Amino acid sequence: MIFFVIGLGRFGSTLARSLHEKGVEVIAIDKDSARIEEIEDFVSKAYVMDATNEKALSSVGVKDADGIVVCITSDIEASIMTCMILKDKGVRKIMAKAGSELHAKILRKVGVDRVIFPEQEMAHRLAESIYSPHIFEVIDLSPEYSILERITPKFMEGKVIRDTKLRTKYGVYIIAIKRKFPIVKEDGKTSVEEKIFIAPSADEEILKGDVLVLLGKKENIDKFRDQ
Amino acid sequence: MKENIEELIDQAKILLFSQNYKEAEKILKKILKLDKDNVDALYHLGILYETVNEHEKAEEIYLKILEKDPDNKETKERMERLKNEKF
Repeated sequence: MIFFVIGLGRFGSTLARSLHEKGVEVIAIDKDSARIEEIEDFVSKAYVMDATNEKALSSVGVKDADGIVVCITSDIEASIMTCMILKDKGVRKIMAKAGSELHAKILRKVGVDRVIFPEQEMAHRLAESIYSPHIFEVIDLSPEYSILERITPKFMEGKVIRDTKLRTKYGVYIIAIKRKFPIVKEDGKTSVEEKIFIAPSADEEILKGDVLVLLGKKENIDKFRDQ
Repeated sequence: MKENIEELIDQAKILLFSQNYKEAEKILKKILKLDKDNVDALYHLGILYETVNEHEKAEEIYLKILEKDPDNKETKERMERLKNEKF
C-alpha cells in the first residue's frame, strides 16, 4: 500500500509516521527542507517539493498511490491547487485537511473524497464524553452503520444477552464485551485486569460495569446510546 | 473488634474476587463505619469501583488513602491508571 502525505506540520508528520509504523509505504512531501530532514528517517521516501508544481508531482508517481492526504491548512490556495492537480491526475483517493468551513466547502467542490477536520472531530468527541460519560466511543463504519462503545445500561445488568432482546427490540448486536476483574498479583496485592470477550454467546451474562461494543444501523445505535 | 474487622475484610475480598460486587460493597462500607481510616478496606472499595467502571468514586476513595498515606505505592499506581483510561 502506498500513501502520500503532503504538508508536514504537526498533523501531517504524525500521520505520516503512524502510517509508516503500521507498515504502509509512506512518501512525505513538504516545501520546507527542515521538515523533510526531520521526517526522512521515519518514512519510506521524503521529498522537498512545491506540491502546486504539477510536473514535480507527476515525477514522484502520485498516480500510483493508493491514497493521498493533503495536510496544508496555512495556505488555502496551495491546498486547493494541490487537490485539483491530484484530481486531474486521477489519484484513487484524496483526503484533505480543512482549516475552516469555507476551505472544506471548496475542497468538496474540487472533488476531494474525504475532508478532515481534526480539531472539530476531537472537540465533538470530547464534548460527547463530557456530556455522556457512559459513552466511550462512537465509530462511523459507513454512512449507514456505526459501532458504539458504552457502559452497560442499568436495565441490562445481570441479564444474559438472549434476554436483553437487543437484536429484536433495538436492532443492535453485541460484538464484544470488555470486562474488568479484580486479581491478586504475584506480590499478593490486589489489582484490576481487563479481558475482552469477542462475539459473546447468547448465554453470556452481562455484569455491572461491563463495556459493551455494539454494532448496528446508525438510527438504531442512536436510539440505544441514551438508554 | 480488630479480629472482627479482619474477618470482615476476608469476607469482602472473597465476595470481590467472586464478582459479587453488591455484597462486597456492603461489607466494605460496614468495615469503614467501624474504622473509617482502614486503608485495606478503602483500597478494596476503590478496586471495586474501578472494576465496575465507576471511576469518580474510585478516585475519591484513592484520594482519601493518599491523604492519610501520601506514599502509598499501590494507590498511586491505581490513580495513575485511572488518569490514563479514557472516560
